[in-house]
Amino acid sequence: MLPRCNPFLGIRPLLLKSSYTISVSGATSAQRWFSQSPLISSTPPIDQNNDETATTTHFGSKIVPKLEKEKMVGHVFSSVASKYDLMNDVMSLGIHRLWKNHFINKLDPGKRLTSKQPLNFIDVAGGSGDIAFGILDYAKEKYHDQVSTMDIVDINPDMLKEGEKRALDQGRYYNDPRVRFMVQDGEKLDAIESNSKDIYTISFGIRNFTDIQAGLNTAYRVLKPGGLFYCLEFSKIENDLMDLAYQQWAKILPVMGSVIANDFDSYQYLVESIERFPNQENFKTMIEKAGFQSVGYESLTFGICAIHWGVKI
Amino acid sequence: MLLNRILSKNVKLSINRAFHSNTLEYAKAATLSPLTYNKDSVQYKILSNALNKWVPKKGFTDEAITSSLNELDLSSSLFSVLGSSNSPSIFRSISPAVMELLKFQLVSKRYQLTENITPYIETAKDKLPSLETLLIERLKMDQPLNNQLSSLFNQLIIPSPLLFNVALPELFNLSDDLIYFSNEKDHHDMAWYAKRLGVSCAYVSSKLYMVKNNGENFDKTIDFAKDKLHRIMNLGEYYNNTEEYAWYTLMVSMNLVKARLARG
Repeated sequence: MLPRCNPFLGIRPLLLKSSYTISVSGATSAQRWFSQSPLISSTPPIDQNNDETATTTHFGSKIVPKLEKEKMVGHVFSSVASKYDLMNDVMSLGIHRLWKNHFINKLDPGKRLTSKQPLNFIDVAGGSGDIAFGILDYAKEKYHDQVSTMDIVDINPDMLKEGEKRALDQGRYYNDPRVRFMVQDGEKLDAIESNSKDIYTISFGIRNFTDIQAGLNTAYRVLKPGGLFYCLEFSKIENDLMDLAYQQWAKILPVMGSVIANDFDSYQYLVESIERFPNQENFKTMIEKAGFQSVGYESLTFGICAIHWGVKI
Repeated sequence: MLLNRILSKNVKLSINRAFHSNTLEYAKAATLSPLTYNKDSVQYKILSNALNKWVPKKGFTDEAITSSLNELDLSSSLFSVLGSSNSPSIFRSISPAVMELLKFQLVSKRYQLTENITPYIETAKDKLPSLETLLIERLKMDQPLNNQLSSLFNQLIIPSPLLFNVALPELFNLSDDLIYFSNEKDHHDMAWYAKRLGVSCAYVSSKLYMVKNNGENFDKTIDFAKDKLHRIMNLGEYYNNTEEYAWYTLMVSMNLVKARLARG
């Protein structure tokens, strides 16, 4: 599990619920890609009850033990944290910055001047601080909001350190009483009280949750009534031509990951996890299932990614 | 057309239409489409309060929404909730929440206009109000916003997704409602579209007249609207005659060709 803001480094294992379970044959073909990795078992674990989904989960299209997953993911992600920005830019040709900017502008966050209460934000899987700092900057610049609080939550301590380092380098939000960096599992958020947050954001992180529905349920729990769930995530491309172009690009991604970050496997996982993530309508249904209302989504760049939202009433 | 109209009014359509009756298609709509919430929602309460109390004083602005939030003792995080379904546009300086307020003004008043009218399918045609009555009723609804109508128009006509996804579809939805819920005869094919286009033109020109008058002397606006609608209806007569003549000519021409061909 490793929630994070990096669209190209979502290494968190994807636990498959019944509707997202992949076939064993799919896993077999993918084993070739991971056969040299010491982190990943090349043999699907055998479950005594013959119920694979109970003890195993997926890492891209590979079936791995649940208990091993966090370590595998943590190790891989920690090794690439230092090249986070460079890789994102190279892999997305810089477009991820536009998506994130649009995400923040559309959210339009910030306490208004005449409003009484400050806002409590939580950015899950946001170790790098991209979205969290962006939201705080936006609120300050547009609404002069310097009182709202932000919890930046990530399960990977190395990514949080990267975010803290960035805050220190930029000279803002480091040792700021308004900003807390917390190592937390996005599916549980044990340290976050129920009904305590106004806005929950997650950017390129929920795809990597072991149990996406559990993550959505937790988002619902921590939000106050009237709170907003806001998610930026890869989705299904709606334009056939663009889809064809993306499929070709996806073939190059792991090679580029190998060159830039010396990590072929992670980028192979990225491509597979994107393919595995539910499409816009299905994810919308999952958000509704968690209890959110006024649910909707906006596809960006022909559906390469999408902004999803829901309101806790 | 009638079936489509009935479905769009009272029914939540499924993505895949079935060829038989099913509960999904005939379920009552959960939201005031195209809004994503219903009358019991917090969004509706905030926006209706803003529209009724604060927009007449502060216009379609963030301040009107903030005042409404403060009055209802709600957090400003609801700004993000209100604007969640809208995207900022490079052509606009207004926030997504204000875009929602503009959308709410159009949609909620359209529903409000017809909420107490039972449509033709369930009642006699002669018991329904006239088209003119409904048009004037809709114009009267905006009387409290006299001073803000100009800025409302300015925002709605800027080329942007708000114009093409909200303002124009809502205008045609309104025209559709005005005809459907009145005792006006309905039509099919091109006449259906032509009639709605004509009513839309009458409504927009009356509204512009109202803006120009700055809301003063509303009787003049009513006279203008009546006159405009009368002209449109006359034009409709011309349209019908032209269509009938064109159809007649087409038939004659076809018969002539057939006769020629039969003769060899």
